[in-house]
Amino acid sequence: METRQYTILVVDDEENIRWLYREELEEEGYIIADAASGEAALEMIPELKPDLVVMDIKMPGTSGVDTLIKIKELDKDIPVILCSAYSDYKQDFSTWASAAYVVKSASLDELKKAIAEVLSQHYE
Amino acid sequence: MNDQERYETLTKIIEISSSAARINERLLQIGHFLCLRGIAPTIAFYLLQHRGRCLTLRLATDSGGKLQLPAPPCNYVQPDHDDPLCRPVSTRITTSLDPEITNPEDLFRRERPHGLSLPLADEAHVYGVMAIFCRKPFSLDEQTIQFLLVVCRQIASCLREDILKKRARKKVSRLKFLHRIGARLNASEDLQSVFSQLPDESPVFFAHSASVLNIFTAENTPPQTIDQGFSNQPQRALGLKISRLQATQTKFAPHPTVFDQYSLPSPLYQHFFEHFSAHITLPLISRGVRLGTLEFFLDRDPKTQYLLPLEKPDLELLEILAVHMAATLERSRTQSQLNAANQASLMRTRQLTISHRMKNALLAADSSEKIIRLTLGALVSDEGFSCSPALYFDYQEKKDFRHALFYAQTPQNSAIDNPGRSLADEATPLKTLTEHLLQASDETPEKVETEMARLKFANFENAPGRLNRALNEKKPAIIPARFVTALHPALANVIPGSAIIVIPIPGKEYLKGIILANADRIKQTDLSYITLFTDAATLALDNTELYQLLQNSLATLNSAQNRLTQNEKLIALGEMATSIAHEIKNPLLSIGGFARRLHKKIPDDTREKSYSLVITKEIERLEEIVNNVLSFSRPASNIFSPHDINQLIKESTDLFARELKKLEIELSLQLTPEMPPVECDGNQIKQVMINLINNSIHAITDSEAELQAHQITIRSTPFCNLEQHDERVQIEIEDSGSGIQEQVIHDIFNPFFTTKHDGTGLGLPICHRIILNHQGEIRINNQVGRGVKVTITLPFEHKGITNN
Repeated sequence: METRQYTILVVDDEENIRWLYREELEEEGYIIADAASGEAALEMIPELKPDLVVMDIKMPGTSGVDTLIKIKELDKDIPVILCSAYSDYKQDFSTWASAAYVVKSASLDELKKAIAEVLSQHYE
Repeated sequence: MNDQERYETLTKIIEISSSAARINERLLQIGHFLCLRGIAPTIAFYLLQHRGRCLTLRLATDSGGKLQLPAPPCNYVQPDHDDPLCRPVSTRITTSLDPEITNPEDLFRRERPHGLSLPLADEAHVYGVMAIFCRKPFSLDEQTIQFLLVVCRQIASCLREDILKKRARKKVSRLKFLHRIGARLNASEDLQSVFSQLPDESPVFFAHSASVLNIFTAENTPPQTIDQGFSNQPQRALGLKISRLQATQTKFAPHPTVFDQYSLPSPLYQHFFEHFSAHITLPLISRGVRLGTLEFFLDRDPKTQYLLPLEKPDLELLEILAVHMAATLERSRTQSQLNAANQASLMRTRQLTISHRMKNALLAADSSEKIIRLTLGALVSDEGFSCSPALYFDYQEKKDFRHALFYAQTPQNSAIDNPGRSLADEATPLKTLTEHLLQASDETPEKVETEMARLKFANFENAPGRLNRALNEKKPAIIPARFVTALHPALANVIPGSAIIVIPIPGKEYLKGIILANADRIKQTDLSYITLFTDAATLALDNTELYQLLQNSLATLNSAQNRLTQNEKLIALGEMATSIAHEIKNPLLSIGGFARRLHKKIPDDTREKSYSLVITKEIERLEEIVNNVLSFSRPASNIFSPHDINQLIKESTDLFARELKKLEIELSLQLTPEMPPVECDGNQIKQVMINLINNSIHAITDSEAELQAHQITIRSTPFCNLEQHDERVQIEIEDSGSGIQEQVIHDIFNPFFTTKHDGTGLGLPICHRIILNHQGEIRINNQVGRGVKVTITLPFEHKGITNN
């Protein structure tokens, strides 16, 4: 059965992380675009129209949470998964607008699981 | 009788009268001689006696020698001078006698009804009468009468000489008496002892009299009375009654008063003459104040009923005696006042000394126990108030609970043996009553304990009468012992004596304590000083309490400051850790991520595969450390909502079910059902539980005591925290592990401290922080060899926002 190829925008200020995500997620069959900052991501979204945004919270410039709010202003239907080194943001009200919250880890298993869940909830 | 004969007779009479014989003997010889000369058949001499108011038949002689000589003296009272015997006469007088008279003299005169009396007188005085009696009428010629008058004159001069001699002798003896009594009065302070010596000094006078001494002590109080010499009880009763009536009369004669049969009758002296012949009252007056009275009751002469001789000089003597005695009384009174003043000043010095010592000691005392020891010590010691034994009921500011009973008695080695002993001697420990009873009696400890329990709860609230009043007024009082024993009979044995001093020690709201002590040796006047003293003790107790309060607040402040410092340190450490961790985290992710990718790509069963595995595993460990650091230092935002604490505990333990089973650790949950929900952050509390259970499992598996049962016990119980005045839930987690070593127990809440080889050292610090954020408490009690008990308390209700 042919499954639809989803486009995922990875937003992270760390180049190596972006590369890691791209490698890992492309292996899973997703189309990956990336942005180094919140501002760059916001510029790309109208044209790219990604199916999902995976975004770090702590970034120079516009933070992940602020970017999330702005993405929702652009298109409230784009699901956003927030990633962070901190588990505490899970309880932050400002992160509630995200579709999921994942604590960053070298193992991407949790992130992949979250992506699959969010995509299936939104598009099937 | 011719002139020659008269001359010879007169010569003989002069010879007789100037002889050295006693006066009666001489009179008898003269009378006898006159009878023999045939001048008269019977001659009697009546002499004036008793202040010259009556004639007494002194003796009579008879030519026949039949008459009993001398005749018994008879008192012939002559209220007026109509009696011919009394009238100095120069002519013959024949007496006519009343047939009714029955006294011996009357018999004498009835037998010799005819008589003639001749005055025994000189120019100055009448001394008596020489009477010539005969059974039949007779007459004497003028010459003989003249002759007899000459004889009478001779006898009068003889009598005069005798009286003067006697007077002189009496005077000398009176002077001697005065001198001796005066010496005694000067030498002695005690009038009463001198009084009792009076009969020894003047045997003749006092042999026939009783005497009473009244000394007035204060106004409106009966005088001190001593008496001596009453011969029987009715006599004494009457004498004392008269004396008392006299003494209590406000009007008094400033001079001696004599009451005898010549005085006017007074109702006071009813029946007087059945017992006495005279009563002399001598006021003891000094500077116009009557200090007492000295009284004499003269006996009736048992043989003759005649009045005893009492002359003016005798009265004067007594008057002088009274003046002397008054002076002595005044002196002894002044002396006793001086003594009292001296005593008072000694007392004051003693009290000041105690006060000073007490003040110093109380100032130095820093515990209530010390103050109570000092107070009881001062009360019971002989240097202090001599109220031994004393008992202290300690209330500790709580109304119903008697904290302890302290007992004190005069120490065995009293101040006399050991003058250096100080009241503040700390070597004498404060004994509880229980200890005292165990030492002093043979009772079994159980019986003593029971007795103590009863005593401790003696109902002071319903204390009887005066005890209750003293407690309510919060003032020391001396009360009869029966009020105290009514409270509890056992107190009679503990504090013997008839009077007990009760000293309430007031607190702010209720009594702080009650002292009961024997008061047999103190007076009401001591009470004010005891009050002063116990006030000082109360003040010292208050001060100690304040001092304790201050100490406590200081300790609280210190610990708060320590906590703050610790918090600041932690915050600084946290900030540093966060920044480091964050910087590490991203590179770590890249390393880890690509290492995993490498690991996936490397074919199995190669050496490279095992290398990459090591890299990925070690990075996983690093990640865990970094995550812990971040979660510790990251300011947590807590979501408080009501949670069933038991549910949270179960959810936490469920996570360990498999592991526990594998390690054969028995988990025992002792949870109190249906407790109110606890307002908390459920996830955080779960994290705490997970951390602690994890620690317990580690402790058990690390334990070397293999034989011990592997067990973890978790309890939840509600309890009321009295200090914080709130209700809390208490969670206890106990394990049977090896416990925590003593030297590290203070470090366990410090971040990065760990005893586990692979621990981060953040588990307990995170738990600590979470519990503090919940306004709870966490304690770790270590029992090496018996495991660790962690106690957490959480308020059911979360109050306000906590800061970090």
